[in-house]
Amino acid sequence: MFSTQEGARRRTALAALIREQGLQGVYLIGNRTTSHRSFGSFRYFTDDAVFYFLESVLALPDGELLSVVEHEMGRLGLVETTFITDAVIDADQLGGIWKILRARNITRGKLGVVKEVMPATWLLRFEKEMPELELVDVSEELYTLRRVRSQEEIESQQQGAKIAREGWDAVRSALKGGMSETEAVSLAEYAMQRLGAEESFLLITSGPVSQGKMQRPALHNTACMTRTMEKGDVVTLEIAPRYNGCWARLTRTACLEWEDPALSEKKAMAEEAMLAASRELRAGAPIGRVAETMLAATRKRGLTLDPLCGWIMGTDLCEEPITETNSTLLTEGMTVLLRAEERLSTAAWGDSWQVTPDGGVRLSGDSFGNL
Amino acid sequence: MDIVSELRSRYCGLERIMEERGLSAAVLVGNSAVGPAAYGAYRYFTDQRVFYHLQAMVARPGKQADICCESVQAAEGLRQRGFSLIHVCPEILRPVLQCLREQPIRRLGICPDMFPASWLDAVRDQWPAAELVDITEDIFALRCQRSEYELEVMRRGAQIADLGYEAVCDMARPGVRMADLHAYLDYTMRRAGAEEVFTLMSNGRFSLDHVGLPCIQPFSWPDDRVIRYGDCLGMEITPRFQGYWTQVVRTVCVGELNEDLAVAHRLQLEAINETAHILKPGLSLREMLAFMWDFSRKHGRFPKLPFGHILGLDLDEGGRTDLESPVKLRENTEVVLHPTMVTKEDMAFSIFWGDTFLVTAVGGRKVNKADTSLRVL
Repeated sequence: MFSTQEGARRRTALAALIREQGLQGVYLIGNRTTSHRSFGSFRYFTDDAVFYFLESVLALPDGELLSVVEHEMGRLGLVETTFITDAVIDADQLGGIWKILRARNITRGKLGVVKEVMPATWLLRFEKEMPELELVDVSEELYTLRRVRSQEEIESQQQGAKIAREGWDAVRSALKGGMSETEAVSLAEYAMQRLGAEESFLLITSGPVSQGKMQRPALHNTACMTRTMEKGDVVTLEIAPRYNGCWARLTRTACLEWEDPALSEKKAMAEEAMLAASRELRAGAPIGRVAETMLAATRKRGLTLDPLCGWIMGTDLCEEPITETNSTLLTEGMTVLLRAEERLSTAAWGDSWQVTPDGGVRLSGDSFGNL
Repeated sequence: MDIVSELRSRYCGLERIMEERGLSAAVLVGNSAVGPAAYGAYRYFTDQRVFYHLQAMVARPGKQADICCESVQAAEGLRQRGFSLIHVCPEILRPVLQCLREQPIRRLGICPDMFPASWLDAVRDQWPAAELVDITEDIFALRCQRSEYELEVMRRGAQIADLGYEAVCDMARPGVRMADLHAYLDYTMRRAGAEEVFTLMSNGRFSLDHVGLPCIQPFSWPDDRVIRYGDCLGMEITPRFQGYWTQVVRTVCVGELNEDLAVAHRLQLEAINETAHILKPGLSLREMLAFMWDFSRKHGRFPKLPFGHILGLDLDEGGRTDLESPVKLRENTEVVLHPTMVTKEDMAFSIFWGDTFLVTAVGGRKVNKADTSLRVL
């Protein structure tokens, strides 16, 4: 949970945006989808974790955040534990939102929404019920506010990165032939949940090396496919816990009960490239330069990496890609996954770093650890 | 039957819907959220667990389905399920629109609860004269016809829920942190194959007359609750196995028997067992609820929602289960019964207890085997 001061800061910023954009308010809908930056705005501005279906909140120019609940107990819960300031009681969320709008005399003008999260049904109902209210998409404007990282967010992501490392350590120490991929990710998730991860995003792949080539599928969620790992496999895991609404992530590749000098060498090169790139993780620097540096460092050593060198993480898992063409500027406190995936082998390593005025600070420990 | 054959059979059902409704195409969207009714439609036709962002299926009469996803990671699982027309694009709407442009669109089938508003804008922009047809109910009717494959999956899911309950009973003791118990329960079910879990728990001193045992809630941090001697533990254990949810709801005593809980438990079992007798095809949720409501009142209790719901690919398949709900149960519909019967009208909840049943011609058949006795740990 964030502090009431943090809540006030975010509400104030949102209220200012509403006034600047000439909006009557912003209507946010939350669900549990893990995604890119459109989806985290509800969580960011309410600190309310949606665990089932959808939830709604209306942000007003005076800084109020009003929600809709089904009963009084729900209202008290929201007001006591989130940034939401009050709620009306209505079994129909949209019905409740309209009640609030009408009570505030908001029936015409512009209402900010995030259309990628809003279901079509709700848009159609809004158009019918409030035809003079124009729904305008404000996803990017909201994201611009979210790019400013507070100290509390910075600390949450630092903690998240530590939790990710614990998750990896739990798997690494137990990895052995005969273990299923499902078991491996379950172990990571178990370790992380006990430390406060509210949810996790986990991908895995495993398979043998044959004639110098990896014989394994792309990274996957074990609900889609799973296999029993064997001695001689190379295993790669993406481990991303969500702590206090903020994502952190690391990527690791390990050899299962064997050693591969070639892979060790690649890991060392990836580490060097990452360290070089981390020096570009300075507030005000363009994201593209980070990717350029990483790709150039490995190219020199004969290693070709995937051009996607990581992600900016925040309330959403993948807020902005770390690619050469991304000219957006880094902001202080941003948490970045720097990730090196070799195209040929698909072996990958990555760590969470934090942007500072003087370059990146690594959050998941000193190195990738043993292979 | 294997999943590839199962999916082919389901797709035939979708083609019939398109023909009956005169559709030019249908677009089904999946995401990683948990919800009612329409949320499971994409999963039903793809068996694809969406773990990031959105995915979409574009179905056209007489053609193989096109699947649009955002990464190669997602594409792998789809290939294994027999799909070959897979479009990988970070902006999924683009290949969706490209597929739709291949033919005239006069009537487009969608599940509007799952269709993003931004996509609706794009479709209306491109095909202003096209009629959008809500096919949620058509798909739901199809989904209600359970195959042998589905029954087997639900049976295995119930085993996972039972395993979860035993894990809690093994671990819960005075001094154990609730956060650790919650994590262990989830871990037990995941390593047994649950792709997702939806666990709610609480601890406290149950009383018939006041709220000593708080309402069950999802895991949230920070959580410094510790189980104490004399506590009751309420839990809703809900694993999702190969897409299908199943549920066991239990309350247990720690250290000593809670007499109030024993009284509530007996009544709860009676309510559930009597209701199970009427779980036959054709019964509506409204009628089921009215029966349970009546039972509560006859036994001097005030009935409150929730009383239970249909389970399947969605956690709450029939949508909100209330006294108005016209949704009818069919053969092999999976229903969890967890009545809320309180002693005072202003109380919102009571004991947490429930079991999952399959609807049959001779009444409900319990799916999970978790012990129905009141446990003292």
